[in-house]
Order: sequence, then C-alpha cells, then structure tokens
Amino acid sequence: MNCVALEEIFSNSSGVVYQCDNESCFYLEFEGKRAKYSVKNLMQLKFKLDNFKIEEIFCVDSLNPSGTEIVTISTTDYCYILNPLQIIRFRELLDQTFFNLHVNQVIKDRLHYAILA
Amino acid sequence: MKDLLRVKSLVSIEIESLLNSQVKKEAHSCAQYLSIASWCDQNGFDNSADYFFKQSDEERTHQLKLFKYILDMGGHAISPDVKDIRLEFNSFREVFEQALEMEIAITQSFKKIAAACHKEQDFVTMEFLNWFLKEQREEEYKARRALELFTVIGEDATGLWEIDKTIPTISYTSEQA
Repeated sequence: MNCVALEEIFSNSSGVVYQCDNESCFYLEFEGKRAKYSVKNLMQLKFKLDNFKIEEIFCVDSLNPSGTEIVTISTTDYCYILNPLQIIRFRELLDQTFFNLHVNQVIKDRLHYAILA
Repeated sequence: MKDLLRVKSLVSIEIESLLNSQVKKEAHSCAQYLSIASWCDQNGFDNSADYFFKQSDEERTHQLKLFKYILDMGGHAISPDVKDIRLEFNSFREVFEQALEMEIAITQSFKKIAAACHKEQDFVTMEFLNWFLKEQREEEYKARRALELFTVIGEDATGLWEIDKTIPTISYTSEQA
C-alpha cells in the first residue's frame, strides 16, 4: 500500500476496507490477503458474492458438494478460493462497507453539495 | 473523504439494479412477442404476425434505450439471459390476452422504478423514465383494443379472419397534435 491518504471505511474480524482519495480506489484486506480495487471492481466483487446461492450447496443433488467457489474479477489479478463460511463473512464485510459508503454519500450530499448549490 | 460511488455513477446501486431488471423484462417481452409472431404465422394470421414482429422490435428498442442509459450514467449494464418463453397457445384470442398481460406487467414494473426514483429524489432518471411511462399508455391501449375486437367482431364464421385484417389498423391517436 503506497497510498498515504487512507481512510478506513469498515473493519471486522474478517478484514478491513480502506478508501484512498488520491488514487480513487479501495484497499481491501480479507483474512490476511490484501487487494486494490477500483469502485467498479469492488461493486463487481460484491455482485458476484451476493449471487452465490449458498443454500444450493447443501442440496442432496448439489453440483458443487464441496461448496468451494473461485472468485475472480476481470481486469484484476486477484483470485479468492472461498468456502461457504468465508463467502458469508466476505458478504458481511462488503455489505457494511457499502452501507458506510452510502452514509458518506448522504453526508456529502447534505454538507458539501448543498453548500455549493 | 470523496464520495467515490457518486463520482463513478449518477445512479445509485438500487436504481441501477432496478434498471437492469427492466432490461431483462424488455428482453423477455421481445423474445415472447417473437414467439407469438411465429405462432400467428404458423396458424395463418399473417397480419397479426407482422404486428407482433413490430412489437418485438419495439421491445428490443426499449431494452437498448435502458441499456445505454445505464452505461451513459456510469453504471454496469448487464446483458440478460432470457428464459421461459411460451411457444404454444390454445387460441388466437389467448395470444392477445397474453400480450395485454405482458404490457400490464411492464407498466407495473416502470411504476415501481418511478416510485424508487421519487424516494431517492433521482429526478434525472425520473425524467428519463417519463418517455417509457408515456409509451406504456400507447402499448396498453393497443393491446386492450386488439382484445376488444374479439367481442366487437365476434369469433364465429369469418370473425377471426376479420380480426386479423383489423389488427394492423389499431393506432393510438388521442395525443397526436
């Protein structure tokens, strides 16, 4: 992480997400693995994680009985191999991250753009 | 701290998701109208087949209009997969009942997106949606008028032939200047 202007968006026992205003990107650390994502890539990652159907893993005729999923995001070099519990934890991390980003959006709208307008 | 989400896209994640769902619905309507056109053609209703080919093209235009709006606003437009297309119909009348049901479902869906835009005060997307809401007035009118022909003309004797002949003449002129 070369960026000096990092601000923590959210952290829990699974990981932490920082925002870097200088590079307009996010630094995400999940279970010790660190990655740098653009806004678009972070949204793609959340979209992919949200779309895994965890309940199907436990079906009798599941096509993926191990429950292991490989998550890659195009235009990045990062790859995650996740079990169902990790998928749930990763979702929690990103859900809270996006919630806080949304709160920031509301605050910015009320305090910053309202003054400019 | 910068608002990176807003810098990237004009529309929120929720509105983007609703618009992508609408893209999928329009794609489904496009494919369903094509299937209806096929059924009409196979059963000798040539005028109605042409009518539904045009309807299918219109739905495709709507789909692309939504798709490009999402992209233009900085969002992620998703090309949808289309499933569950009905291929068989029990009667000529049922074809038009299905068409009206589809148009009603599309109108309801646009109303939900409009409600979400009002809630978020996303007036930019709301202004964009106005074109679709107006379009739905015409689409529902045409679908309803087509179905009414079955009562007005009747299905006995040459009734179905007469209905098929009348279908291309249906137009929505109330709002023309």
